[in-house]
Amino acid sequence: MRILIADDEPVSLRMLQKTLRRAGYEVTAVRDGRAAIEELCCSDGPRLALLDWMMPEFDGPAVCREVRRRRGERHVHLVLLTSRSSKQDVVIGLESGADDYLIKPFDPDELKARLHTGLRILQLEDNLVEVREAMLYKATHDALT
Amino acid sequence: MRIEVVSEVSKVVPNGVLIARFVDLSDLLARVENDCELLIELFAMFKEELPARRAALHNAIQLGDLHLATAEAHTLKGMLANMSTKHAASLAATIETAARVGDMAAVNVMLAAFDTEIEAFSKAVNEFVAGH
Repeated sequence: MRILIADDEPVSLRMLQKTLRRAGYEVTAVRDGRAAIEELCCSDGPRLALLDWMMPEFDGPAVCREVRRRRGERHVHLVLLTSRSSKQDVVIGLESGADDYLIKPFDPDELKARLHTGLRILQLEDNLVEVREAMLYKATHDALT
Repeated sequence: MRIEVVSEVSKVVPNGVLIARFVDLSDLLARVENDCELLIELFAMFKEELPARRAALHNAIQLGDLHLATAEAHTLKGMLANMSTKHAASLAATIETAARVGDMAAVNVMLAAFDTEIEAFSKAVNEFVAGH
């Protein structure tokens, strides 16, 4: 599974990259919000992302808003990973369009478990799309008509 | 008890005793999943990154730009917490809080304490990295 990580702090980025590669993810790493948006809004871009809050160009919540606006129907699972830990920040982050919120410094087991949750949601969406397309096909290709 | 823990971790992390006064090594080892090579690589990166981040914080405070100082202190807090350098991270957090509420006097007091801690820590990191 491909995952995008966006963080302007290189040590944190490297630590995440190594943890996720070890867990079997194919990692794309970027260091600012604009690059994150470009990657996530590609038609074949990653559908799972870990975003820092404070980054140059676009911050994490701005990335979430922009991806939700531009990406359209196909769901991208966005997780904010930040050292901003107040309840107000969590609310702002989730309201911006993030699906989950993790506080730095991360615990590797918790991080992987949260990403598994994201993968389950993406799998569920894929199943729903598949069923919908099958129903649409049946509706337009009825053997009797 | 603390000495025993440091001694145990130092067996896993070569020269770990050099940084164990500042870093919660067992916590950091758990975060890197006991990958000592990664831990050493991260400290080498940290050593390169820290001076520029400190300079950016000092610069923001000298300019009286407390909005920028808040952001820089926040970044340093994150970097330090990520490396399980808990005391220095808490000092950066107090600078961040003071800068956010516009308390320049408190910022300067905390900056002096932060600088003292960071200078000692940087020296330890330099020795640790040089030993690998």
